[in-house]
Amino acid sequence: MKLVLQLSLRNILRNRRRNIMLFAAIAVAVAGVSSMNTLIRGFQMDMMDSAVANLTGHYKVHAPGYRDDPSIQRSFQLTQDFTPDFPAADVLGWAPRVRIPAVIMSERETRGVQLVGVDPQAEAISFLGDVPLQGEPLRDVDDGRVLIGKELARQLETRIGRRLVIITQGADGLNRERGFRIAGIYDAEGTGLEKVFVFSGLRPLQDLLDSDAVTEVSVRLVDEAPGLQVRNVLTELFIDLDVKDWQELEPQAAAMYLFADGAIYIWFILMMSALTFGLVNTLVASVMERVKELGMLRALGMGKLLVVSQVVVESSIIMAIGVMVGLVGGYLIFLLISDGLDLSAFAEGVEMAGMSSVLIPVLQWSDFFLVAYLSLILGVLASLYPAWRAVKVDPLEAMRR
Amino acid sequence: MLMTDRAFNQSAPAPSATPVLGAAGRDLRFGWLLFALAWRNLWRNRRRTWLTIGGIAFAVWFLIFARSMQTGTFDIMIDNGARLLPGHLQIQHPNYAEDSTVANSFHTAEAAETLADLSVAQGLLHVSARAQGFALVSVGERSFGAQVIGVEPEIEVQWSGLAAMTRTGRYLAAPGEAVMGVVLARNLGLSVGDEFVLLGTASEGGIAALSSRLVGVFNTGNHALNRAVLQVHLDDFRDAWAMHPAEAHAMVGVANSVTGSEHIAAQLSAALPELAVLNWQDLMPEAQQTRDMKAVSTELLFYVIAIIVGFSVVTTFMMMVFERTQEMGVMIAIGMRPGFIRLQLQIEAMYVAVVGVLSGGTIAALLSLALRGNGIPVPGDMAEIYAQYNIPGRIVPEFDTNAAWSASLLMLIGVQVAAFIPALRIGRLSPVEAIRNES
Repeated sequence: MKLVLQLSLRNILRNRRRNIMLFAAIAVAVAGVSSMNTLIRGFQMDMMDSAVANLTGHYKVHAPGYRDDPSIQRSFQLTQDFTPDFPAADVLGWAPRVRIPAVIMSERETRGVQLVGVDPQAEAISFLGDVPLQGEPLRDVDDGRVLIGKELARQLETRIGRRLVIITQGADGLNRERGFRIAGIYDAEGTGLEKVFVFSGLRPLQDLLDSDAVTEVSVRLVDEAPGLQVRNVLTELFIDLDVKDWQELEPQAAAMYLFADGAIYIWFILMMSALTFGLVNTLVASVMERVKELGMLRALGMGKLLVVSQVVVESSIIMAIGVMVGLVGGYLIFLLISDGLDLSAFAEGVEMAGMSSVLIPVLQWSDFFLVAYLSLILGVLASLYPAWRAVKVDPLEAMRR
Repeated sequence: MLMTDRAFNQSAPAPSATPVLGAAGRDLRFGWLLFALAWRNLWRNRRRTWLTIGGIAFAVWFLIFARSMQTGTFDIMIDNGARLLPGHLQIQHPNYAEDSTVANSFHTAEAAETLADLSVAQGLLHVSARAQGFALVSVGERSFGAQVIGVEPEIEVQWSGLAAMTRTGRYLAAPGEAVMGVVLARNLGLSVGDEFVLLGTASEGGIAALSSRLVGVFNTGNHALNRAVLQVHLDDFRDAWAMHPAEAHAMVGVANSVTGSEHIAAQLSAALPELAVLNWQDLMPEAQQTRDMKAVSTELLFYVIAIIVGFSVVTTFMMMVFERTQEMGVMIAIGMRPGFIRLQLQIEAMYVAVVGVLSGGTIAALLSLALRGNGIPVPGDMAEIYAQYNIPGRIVPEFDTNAAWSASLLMLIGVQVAAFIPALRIGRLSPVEAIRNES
């Protein structure tokens, strides 16, 4: 084994300049794949974060049928001192809400919106917690004013301090109408949220609807991983209600999330295919150059297996060095772009895909390992044909050359 | 260096000269010789040449095919998006895009006349007027807000995606009828045949009221349309919103193809200076940007692949130079200028690149031809997302000639550069050492 290693290493060193080119090609491929992976992961995280922050949370509790018919009739009670018994370290927070469709009218225009009654203190778990805001935020759960989106304000031709009339359906199925003063105008990423969501304090909205129930409880985790335990707590607490995770609530975002997982492999396969041509070429050349000595070694009694392993080890060493350089390169690229890539030139399209306009790469060491691991496998596979060529060398023929 | 100079001088008598042809003919013959030599050299090591060609062909194939898939997808996506509601182009009141109030309407007569006169406008397959506004849709005690669009159903039914996606009942045909999105109908508790009331704000601030009957429910895969869009007959809308019978908020045009419509929109815009003409980019800015963003990521991928292939071309030529050091020394010693050997190497590179580009391009072309009929089916989960972006469940590649040209050019130039680097060594070659070199 030591002999094989030594022979392979010497062969690599014999042709330094050519192998440097090969290292460079491998390094570019690996650096390209691994830095692209950080961007794809960034995209994925960002998409999950915005899906989760869009009032979805990692888990959500609804009354059965609410998703088909979102009205205050499909609601449930929370006791005054309701505090779910979550494993504290796993849960970032939870928020009760009333969320129902409503019609909103300014002096000039009318629009259809989602009216959301919130407890402002609990909303640190959603985008409302850190959204840029003009005017004042909602003070507390009793605040009877509203927050509206910038785009909606533009469409309604209204501004902070003005009154808006909101019409919605109460608990008895009859329409309610009430004026709300605008406390502030929020500026979310993209106009999608701004057009749809109008926020007010939870209590005044419940009063308007003649109800003390909520339509949803949203739970945000610190990290997605330990979710199952939280889900169990939720299903035990709300026996007759629907508990759904974000993948079920946002199937499109979830499918995109899965697709990003696949994209990592697609990138890898494409780049490595391009690389394989050069790798096989060089390995075959290095075998053919040594036909004479391989013939000699075979004549002296070196086994076929030893010849094969020599070529395979040579290929693996080349790959390993290239991969190491490439991963360092990938890491440097990651550091270089770790502040985020500004995609604002394409922001509208990006927001349509559910991301924010600055793409921040996310480094997952497991992806680096995956790239290294797959590359080494590829190195072995690429050496099979050259190794076969090496074994095929007929000692007599070779030495006569 | 001294040797090289002598080699230079010695090349003057040109051993292969044929007196009859003269100097010009001699150069010509010599030129041919270089090309022939280059070609033969290439096939001295078939496997290596094919592997190098394979790498180049892969890169070219990849760019052309990836681009063709995208072009195919995006053309259909944009066309489907346009046909879902906005159309390929719209003529509007100049302020309507900024401020979509009912008051910003325009008289359709002038626009209709221009359309009839302008020959380029004959490219529009369908043109119809629309009036639109926001209204409260009420049934009993239930009310929801919705965008109400008054359309000419006899024209829109021929192209509208909403008409095609009417899942229950039928598309609207006469005044007094309406179609709406599936979520809106569900929220209102309405089924086909039920009556409902629309309440909106008319242009002069009056109340617009309309009673209508639901004849069809559409389900588009687009949540916003399903939740908040409703179509009625244009005449009903004009009556209820107290609009003049010739007024409209938009004239919607649909052409043969998305790309064809750009040209028509530009011409119309010049012919109608008082009105705004919106092309598909204006109507669907996010589609344009999604397309650009995808193109950027493909380009990035392509450059990385081109660099990888470039490196392998460099290695190949390094091997070639190394192997032939001895014979190159001989050639220089008998009077070949190093410059010519380098030229010969560049010609070899050109051959490799041309064969690679041609085979990569051919494979890409054949593949898109083969897939023309059926396309590639999109896996289930993705099909769902695609539906939301108006992309069909099958991707049919559209051979992209621009991509073919740019990929070919880039590869031809790239391979020349890649061959140039190892060729530099030849200039420094000293014949004595080269000949002594055992390889």
